[in-house]
Amino acid sequence: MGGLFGALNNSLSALEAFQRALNVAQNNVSNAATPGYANQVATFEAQPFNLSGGLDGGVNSGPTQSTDNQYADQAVWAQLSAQGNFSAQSSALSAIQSLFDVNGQTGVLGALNNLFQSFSAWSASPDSAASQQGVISQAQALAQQFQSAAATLSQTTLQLNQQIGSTVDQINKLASQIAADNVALSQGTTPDPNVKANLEASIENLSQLADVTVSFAANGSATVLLAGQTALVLGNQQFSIQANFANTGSGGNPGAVPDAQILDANGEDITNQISQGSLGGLLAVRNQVLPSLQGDGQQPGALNILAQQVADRVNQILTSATTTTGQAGTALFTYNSSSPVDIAATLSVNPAITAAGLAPVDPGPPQVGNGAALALADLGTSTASGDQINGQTILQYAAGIATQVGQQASDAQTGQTLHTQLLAQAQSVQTQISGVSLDAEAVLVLQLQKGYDAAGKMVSVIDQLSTTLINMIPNS
Amino acid sequence: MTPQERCQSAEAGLEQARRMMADPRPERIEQCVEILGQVAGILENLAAGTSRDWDPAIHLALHRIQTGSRMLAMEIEQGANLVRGWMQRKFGAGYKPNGLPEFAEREHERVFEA
Repeated sequence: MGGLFGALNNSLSALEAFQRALNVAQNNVSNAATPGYANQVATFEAQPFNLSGGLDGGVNSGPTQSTDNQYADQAVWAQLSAQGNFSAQSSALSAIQSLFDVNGQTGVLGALNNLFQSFSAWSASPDSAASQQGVISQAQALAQQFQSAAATLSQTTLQLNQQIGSTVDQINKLASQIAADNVALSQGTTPDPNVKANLEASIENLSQLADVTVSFAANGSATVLLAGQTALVLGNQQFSIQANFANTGSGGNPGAVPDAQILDANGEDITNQISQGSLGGLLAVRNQVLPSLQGDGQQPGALNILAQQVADRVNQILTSATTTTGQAGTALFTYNSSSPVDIAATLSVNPAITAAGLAPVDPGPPQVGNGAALALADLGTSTASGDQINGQTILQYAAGIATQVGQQASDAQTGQTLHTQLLAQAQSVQTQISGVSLDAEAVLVLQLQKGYDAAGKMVSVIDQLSTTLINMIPNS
Repeated sequence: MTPQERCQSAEAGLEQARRMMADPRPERIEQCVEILGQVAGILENLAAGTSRDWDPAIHLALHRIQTGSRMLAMEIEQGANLVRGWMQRKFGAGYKPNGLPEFAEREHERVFEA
């Protein structure tokens, strides 16, 4: 392409190259705040210079190169997933934690302590109307606490169902956006940076919701797998997942709340695949923590076990005893015994009992005037095998529930704090290395590596010193 | 400085190091190592002191320092793993027969001056 036309074309080509560079710069400015956006670098390719052959030389813009680094992106996505998981768990557990006061002042544990204290006061003066009424009042308060705890757990289950459903909807919506971006990317000759930025923002948002594995094709389109196994997006195809809360085949306890399920596009249960992201956190609380407390198809749940043991043992002691006037004792508590998962929710004070009808006398032999009341006062800390639950006294078991829930909430909070920090760290490294030259990158990673090695050694010294100091304190 | 003040100072140092580690630039990590060195010095002084008649609050503070240092260790480990993986991905050339990563020889590394 010689002559004037060739020279003009050459100039046009150079102008186009600069225009393209300008567009890239514009993209960088406008997308600077988009999550996942990496600097675009315009490349200039030298054109062959051969007048005799019709090649005019000059420059032409080559394909735009994205300097994003999938390795850094994957690290950020992994931390987003972990942070989403702990954040969801922490939020869900905070609602449950308030039910189980580990100090024993309020909640079920507080009401249990108060009931045993009222039994103790009654054993000191079995004929006192005030102490008899004290027992009835504290029994009503305990029943109320069990019912309230069961209702709150039930309410929390419904709230988690809504959150799981909403999270699944968000996952499907983001998958749909990724599929649409894939279509746009597969149609262009070079990846449109705006589409690519949208795609990466969608992947970051998706990472917070679930553990996703992403791989990119040469045209920039993304394949997204849930937990590395279930396809969410393949090219332009999106595979929707769905939440199911009506799994009928989940066990034999009548009235039990079925576990939440996540089904793939073919209706297959993929719940166990999902362990990260906010969906993983919500499922962990919904399918593990809540059933361990309120029961499910396979287990009665700790709250129901505790309610039944307290009610049964109190009733057994009272119905084996007699009143001060020689009448047979009456049971203090009633509950719906048709389902082991319904005990705490239906525990109440027997409407047939009156304060005067409480039976403090152990008929023996030998007969003890306050024997039954004394046995009830000691019931909470009794180590007799019939009084214990799984080798623990009633109060130990109740405190154990509070401790377990408190520990889970604390672990979730710690995990959330840690992964927020780790996320910030991964994002910082991603930002630093994105867009620098390979040599600069090599120097940077070596400097970082050296710094991490030194910091790691110093932290190890601090750990050893703090451990030594703790061990030096008497009784620690 | 009282033992209580030493613990507070060590905790503050650890917290500052954790904040710096969230934005790990080489110069910041260097500062972070210096701060951690100061924290270690504070704890060494505490251990060298003769009195062990400490307030229970010091016991709790030491546990917080221990937990804080372990969380920081996890952050450092993640950062180091991230950088190692990065190096291997960008500059790696497969694996040696013993399974360790092999790094490509760079041009300037082959130039020797007498």
